[in-house]
Amino acid sequence: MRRLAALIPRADRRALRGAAVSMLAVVLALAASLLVIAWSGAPVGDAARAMWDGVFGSPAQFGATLTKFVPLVLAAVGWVVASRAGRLNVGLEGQILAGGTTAAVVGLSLSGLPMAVHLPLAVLAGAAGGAALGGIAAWLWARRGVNDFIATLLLTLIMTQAVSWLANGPLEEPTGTLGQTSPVADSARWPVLLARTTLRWDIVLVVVLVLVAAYVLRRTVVGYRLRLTGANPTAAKATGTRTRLVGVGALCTSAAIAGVAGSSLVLAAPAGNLAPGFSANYGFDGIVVALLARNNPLACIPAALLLAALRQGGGLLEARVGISSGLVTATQAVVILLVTGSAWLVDRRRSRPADARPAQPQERVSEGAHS
Amino acid sequence: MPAPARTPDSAAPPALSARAVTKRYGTLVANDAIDLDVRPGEILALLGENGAGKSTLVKILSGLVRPDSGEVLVGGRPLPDGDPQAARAAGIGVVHQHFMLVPDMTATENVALAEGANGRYDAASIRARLVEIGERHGMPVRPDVPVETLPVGERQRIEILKCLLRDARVLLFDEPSAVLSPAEWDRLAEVLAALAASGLAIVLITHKLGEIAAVADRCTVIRGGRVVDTVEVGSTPPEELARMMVGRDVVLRTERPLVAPGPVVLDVSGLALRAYRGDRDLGPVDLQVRGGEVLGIAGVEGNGQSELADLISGVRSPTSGSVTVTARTGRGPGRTGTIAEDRHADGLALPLSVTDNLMMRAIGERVFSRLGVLRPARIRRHCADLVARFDVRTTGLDTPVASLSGGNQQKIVLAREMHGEPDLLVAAQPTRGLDVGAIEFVHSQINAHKAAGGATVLVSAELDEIFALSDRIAVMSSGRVVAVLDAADATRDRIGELMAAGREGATS
Repeated sequence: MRRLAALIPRADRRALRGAAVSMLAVVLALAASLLVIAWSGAPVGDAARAMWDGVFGSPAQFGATLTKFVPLVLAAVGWVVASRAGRLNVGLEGQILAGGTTAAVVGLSLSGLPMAVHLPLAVLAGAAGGAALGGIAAWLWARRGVNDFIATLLLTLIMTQAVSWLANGPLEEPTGTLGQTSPVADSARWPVLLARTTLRWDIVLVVVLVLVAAYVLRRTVVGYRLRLTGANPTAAKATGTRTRLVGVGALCTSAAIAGVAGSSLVLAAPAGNLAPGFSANYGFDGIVVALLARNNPLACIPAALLLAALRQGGGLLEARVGISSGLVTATQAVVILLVTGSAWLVDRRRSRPADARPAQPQERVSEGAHS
Repeated sequence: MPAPARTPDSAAPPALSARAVTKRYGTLVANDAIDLDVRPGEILALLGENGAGKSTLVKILSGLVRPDSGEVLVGGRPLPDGDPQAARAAGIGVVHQHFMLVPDMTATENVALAEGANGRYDAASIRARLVEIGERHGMPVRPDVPVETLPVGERQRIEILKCLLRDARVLLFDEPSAVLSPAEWDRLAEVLAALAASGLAIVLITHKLGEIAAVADRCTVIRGGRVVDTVEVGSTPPEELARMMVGRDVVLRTERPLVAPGPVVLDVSGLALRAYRGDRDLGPVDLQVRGGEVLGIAGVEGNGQSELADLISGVRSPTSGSVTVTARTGRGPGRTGTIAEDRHADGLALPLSVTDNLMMRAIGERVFSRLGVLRPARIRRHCADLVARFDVRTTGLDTPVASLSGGNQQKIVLAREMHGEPDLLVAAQPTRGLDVGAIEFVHSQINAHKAAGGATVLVSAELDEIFALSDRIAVMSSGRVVAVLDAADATRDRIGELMAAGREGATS
């Protein structure tokens, strides 16, 4: 066993230990959620069954869980790419909207193309749309010194209104009554992966994208410079890394990934059209997923699965046992708090001094504050 | 300087003692059965290298850390473990290396905060006591100015006064000179002597032998978490103290190699930076440094040396003027290596591994990647080689740099910057915060670089370091180079005069 452990690089061993702690926290959190449910007076057994059925109960439910997994994991990886470079892209939601919109435009406006051309084109348009919106924030940050957090967040607000206007105006379906677009051309829609479910082939692309992102961050010069810039921009710049370029690249890449998520929300949705609010908060939940995954791109996969399951199972919990949606959200919050809290515990344990002297003194406040 | 006569009463009970104090962190024994006594009216130096366990001991003495076993006695009475309030109430005051002051509050407000004031407090009476006690101990402070605008020496005095206002009987100073200029240290030394003469017990934590010789009565040396010995300072030569601290013989003075100067490697011409600090301008500066030559830059901190180093190494861009670096052969552009003044802020990426930190510059070299994909085997071989050559003590190449000691962190910077033999080395405060062994190593590397024909610009607040390494010494004051002296003609007094010349105000 010991010899086996030695084969795994130290960083991975640490990640694995973190993952084990996270799993334990999930189990505890689910148990705690059931306690909350019991306390609210609902039958616990039924609630647990509803939760389980909601996630795994039927192929349709499981397919729906995986369908929710797709945009969540993409948004999370988008967050990871930017934050590893030290940039805070909280506007993933807006970039999802932008990507979905451009994908829909390409899906609607072109016709007669074979799927092998039309679908990739629409997905790329989604990536480009996301990147364009992220690019505005990146430009503001690099050239005008605007805080990236603020810029991306505010652009999201603008994008929300823009999509609403497009869907009710220029892009609205011919009858002009539904406040949404017509479905995109069939040649631009992802084919169904599991029959009688909402799951489509985009999930394969998504998993590949996550693996590529993890590989690039870990194994390439670009990834190295990105991590370096995030860890210490001054040192990175002083030793020859063009940190501003890295920051812009990271923001745009992050936004492009969110744009792909947006394209999936249109091109892989049952309705296959653009409607206001189609981003459904996936952009913000993606940040939560990244938090759960502790900024590790590969860990985003289980973390996104967990959150997708909570979303999907919570829906059935609400419908079948009659628990209020507020309580469902609260149980999800408990899970998130416990998992991130446990991550903090792992960090604290690890950061004990290897040297009698702490490497980074952080006391700057007056000791009087404690008294 | 003449210390006021003081006669520590050797019969008096210790003001503060540690009895068999032991503290473990995991497998590391930070403090191993440490015994220590300091008597009223005495200055006890606590000497040890970085990582020897000094800081842990201070935290235990001040109640911030609970020892695994052993006890701390104040005036013969045991102190409850791990209770900073009780330690404070018993009269233990700590002057931390990193000041515990709120920068935008005045001295009076900071003192009030430390006194535990909340809501309403009597500012006038606190201010009056602050001024009165300050005057009495020869430590004048300005009570109504935000402390961030005060020079470091004055901020430190506020820290001391904070303790005195609480009737501290024992003062612990954690490396107080680390942030001070030589003149400020001299003043502090006088204050320390006066405080001891008034009956306080003082523990001075340091790794500088000169300070111990200047003020301390006795010295307790610790190494690897254990007390090596406690000796009378007056009867122990510095070499002996150094040997006890490091555990082997140490060359306190490195021999400066004399190298025939080569072609001009660094040519600085008309270099200027507008408003580098507030309303101060830097330059214009004209300098030349040849291969095989070390140019030392001396000056009181804040007079533009750090900025000049940043301009030369290219980290900052000048308002006007130019920096030209030529290869040591005299033909073609030269490469620059930089030892940043603040290695944590500017030199290292602390959360990243040893490997990642060693590769910052070399990552662009073709051998380490193929089509943009890293070649881990080659990178690891390269880093393992550097770690061995520069004697970096680390548990592995994947260890985060944050967990290494200061000396080993600096060796990583050095290994990275010296790789590929830069033509110019810009070394800013290269030994700040390092222990004797590490200082010796850094100095030998700079000398080796010089002997190989490289040019060096050395910025240091330690005059000893400037004298030990430099062939020529440039003195800076108020953003200007006021003189460039040959090392042979330079004396401490002459440099000191030049440093003070043209220096307006006391703001550092």
